[in-house]
Amino acid sequence: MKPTTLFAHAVQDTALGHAIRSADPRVIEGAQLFHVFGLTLVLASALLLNLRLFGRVLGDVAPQRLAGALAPLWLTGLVATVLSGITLFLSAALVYDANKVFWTKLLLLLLAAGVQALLWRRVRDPRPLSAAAARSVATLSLLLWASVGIAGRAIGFI
Amino acid sequence: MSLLDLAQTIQDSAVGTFIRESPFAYPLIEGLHLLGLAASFGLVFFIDLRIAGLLLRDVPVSRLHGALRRWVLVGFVLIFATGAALFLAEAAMLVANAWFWAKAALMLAALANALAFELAWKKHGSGWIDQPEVPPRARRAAWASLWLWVGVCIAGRLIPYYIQR
Repeated sequence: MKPTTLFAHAVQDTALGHAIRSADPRVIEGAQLFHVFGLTLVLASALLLNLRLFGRVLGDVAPQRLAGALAPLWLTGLVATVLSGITLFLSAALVYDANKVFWTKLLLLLLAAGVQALLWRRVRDPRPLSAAAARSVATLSLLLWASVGIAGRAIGFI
Repeated sequence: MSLLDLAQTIQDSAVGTFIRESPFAYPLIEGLHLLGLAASFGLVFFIDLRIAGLLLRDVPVSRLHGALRRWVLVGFVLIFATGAALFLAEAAMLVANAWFWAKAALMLAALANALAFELAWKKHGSGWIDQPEVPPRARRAAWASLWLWVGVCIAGRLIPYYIQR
């Protein structure tokens, strides 16, 4: 058995796994809603910072200032997405494990969140970031986030 | 011809059938619909927070609004185009779904609210929104916008859970 399948079996059999699977279906609908709102916040805050790093918006607002205002929103969105995502996974761990896109999406999410976390830190660092470096990391981040969104949405249909 | 018959005809059209049955088109369009949401409502959310005085208070409202306008429009074009494609694929299911109509009504209310805000801004002149204290009317419009779009997202996401069979 694949290690991920063993993992899915193990979490399905925890008390939390049982509780979520036997809960009212509205718990899952609620988790789906939090997942969408969290992701919207994550994507929009990353989009706005990255557009600024491309020099496409708010050229007179320092990237440090923008990152300081947006990073807490990004983190709030990420926490909401991850917590609701864990709830959704526990509700049908074996189904998600068998889904062709699920683990790809999770890997993309880890990469995107890692790149973005580094970017927030680096932008808020007083040492200036070269425009070329900022642009390449912003491009990478946008591509990763777009693929997380598309892969994540595809899970429900594949 | 009833609305349901018309919706059934749309759903059975070649393009509707293609989107619904293609293993790639439907998930891809759903994914792009989600990305459009981030660029449209996601960026509108930041403008709403700014007008409400909760974000980037040192950046004038008109500055943020002007900077994000083009990207918000790109987001709305993406979300409406993909939304229309999804409607073609599932028209008969959607017109029989109460959440779909709730979503459409909330969306119209959100758009009417945005239009009223833009008209008030135009009427009062360019300095109206950039006063040290944002006018209460604008703040009310921002909160209305925020909650109406939240409602649109809730109603939209619930559509697949309440399909009439």
